[in-house]
Amino acid sequence: MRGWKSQVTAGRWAVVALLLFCLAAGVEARAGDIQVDIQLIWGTDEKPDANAPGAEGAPEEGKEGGGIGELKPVDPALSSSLKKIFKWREYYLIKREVVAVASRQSVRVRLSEHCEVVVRELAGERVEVKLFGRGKLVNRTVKSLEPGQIITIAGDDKNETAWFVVIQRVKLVV
Amino acid sequence: MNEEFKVKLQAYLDGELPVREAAEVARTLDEDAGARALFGELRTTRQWLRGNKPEHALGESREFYWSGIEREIRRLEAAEAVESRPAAGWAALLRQWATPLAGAAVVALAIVIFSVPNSIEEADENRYLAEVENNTEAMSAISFRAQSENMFVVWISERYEESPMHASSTDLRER
Amino acid sequence: MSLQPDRPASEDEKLVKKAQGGDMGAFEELVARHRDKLYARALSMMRNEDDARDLSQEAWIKGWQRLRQFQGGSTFLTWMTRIVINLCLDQMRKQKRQRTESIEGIEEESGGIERQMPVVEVNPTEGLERGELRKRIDRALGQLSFEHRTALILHEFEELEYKEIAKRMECSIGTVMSRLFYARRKMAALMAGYNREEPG
Repeated sequence: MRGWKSQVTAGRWAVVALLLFCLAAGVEARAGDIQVDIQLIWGTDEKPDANAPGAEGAPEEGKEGGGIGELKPVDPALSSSLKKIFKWREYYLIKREVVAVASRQSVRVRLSEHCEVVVRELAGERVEVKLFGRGKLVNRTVKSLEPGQIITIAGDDKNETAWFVVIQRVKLVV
Repeated sequence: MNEEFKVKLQAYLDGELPVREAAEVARTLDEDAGARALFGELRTTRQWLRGNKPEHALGESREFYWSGIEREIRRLEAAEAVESRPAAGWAALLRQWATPLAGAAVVALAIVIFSVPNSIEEADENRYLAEVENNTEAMSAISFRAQSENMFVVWISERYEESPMHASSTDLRER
Repeated sequence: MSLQPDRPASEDEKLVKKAQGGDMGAFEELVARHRDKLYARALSMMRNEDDARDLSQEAWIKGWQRLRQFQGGSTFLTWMTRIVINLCLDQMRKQKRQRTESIEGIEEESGGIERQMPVVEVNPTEGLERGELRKRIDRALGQLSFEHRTALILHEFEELEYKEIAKRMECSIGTVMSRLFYARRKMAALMAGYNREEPG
């Protein structure tokens, strides 16, 4: 009898331990989850045409793209930062995605027809950013990315303009 | 002699002209003294440079110069070792200890308590390390930190027109 | 402060093999053998001793990291020189991006004053000692724009074809031809000018 009873007690402890273990693992995993704001930005010296439709702000729904007036300027704080570092006077938002990246996992985001980024969460507040152009891996950057820090991967575009992939951490709201 | 012909004359000197055009330039050289004079000047300049590469010696000692290189190599290798360290190796180890019932409970709690300080230490250690890898010959990458804006920048330059980012950047406005 | 002599490439090969196996001592020996040449090339391009030293050191670090990729298709020194040249080009692009393009640069691209220069018909270096000639060449190189100087260095020192120079300088072959032409013309005029200042 005593042997049977002790087996039951041990079984209960096992269940409790298992629950605690799962809880611990879950907390650890959640602690590593991050939210990342990824923006594709176009830098140019061209100013929006005041007469163009939608020149004041976001592109109007249903309008055909192409005119600079239809592009949405980037957030003023970010624009100001970019202006301090780079030579271009205007910065327009082409695409923006906020994605959640689970601990040690990666997320792929398509930014344009040919451009994709894969963001992976790593140990110690670091992320790995892989930039793909036409399906080919172009650049891999591993860097700490704490809230407030920015990683920008950029390059020249045609006609003295430039493209920027701006990656920032967003604070997780629980 | 127009500017286009002058540049062609140089290409002839450098052996960069197709045979048909080279024959035309050779004919002009026979007939035109001005072309011959310019050709002579270009050839002389080429000879000066080819045989007389400037030489400069470093002012610092072998040991001092090497120490800077060695220090940076060791730092980068240490950073790489941190990067390749299995991130959750301890979790697998803990699972093995999960079998003893009561012990597992204590260890599981310990994970919760100790995992947070560990990650903070790691973050401090790696805050200023960055690894930038250029993965295509068609492009080159430079990186720098804009301290005032808290921004780390990787600037990619295209070496060839057929580089992978060429098309991806041009479609920006066509979306 | 002595300049390094040319070393047999076969000795380099042995050291490279050892270094590829992780022997840092062998790599240090390679650095000691070729450091002046790499520094000289960086200095020819950048015209600044600190930049040249830093970039040559960075080239050695990159060389160590990529050593396994070196297959022996060229000499080790040529391979290392290409690395330092690429670093110099990257550095200049970075510096350029942080300042506005100058009108002077645009004029130089299309010839500017070099279009009007008379042809130098008498060799202004006749009778000069080699050391003096080298000094004058270096001085003249320093008076060229970065683009003109780089085109000359890649063509005359590295003996690259127009197509290869275009890839490295990220421009068209036509631009390379134009840069090279006006660089040579300016070089000839500068050398003739030095001759008038201090007759050889």
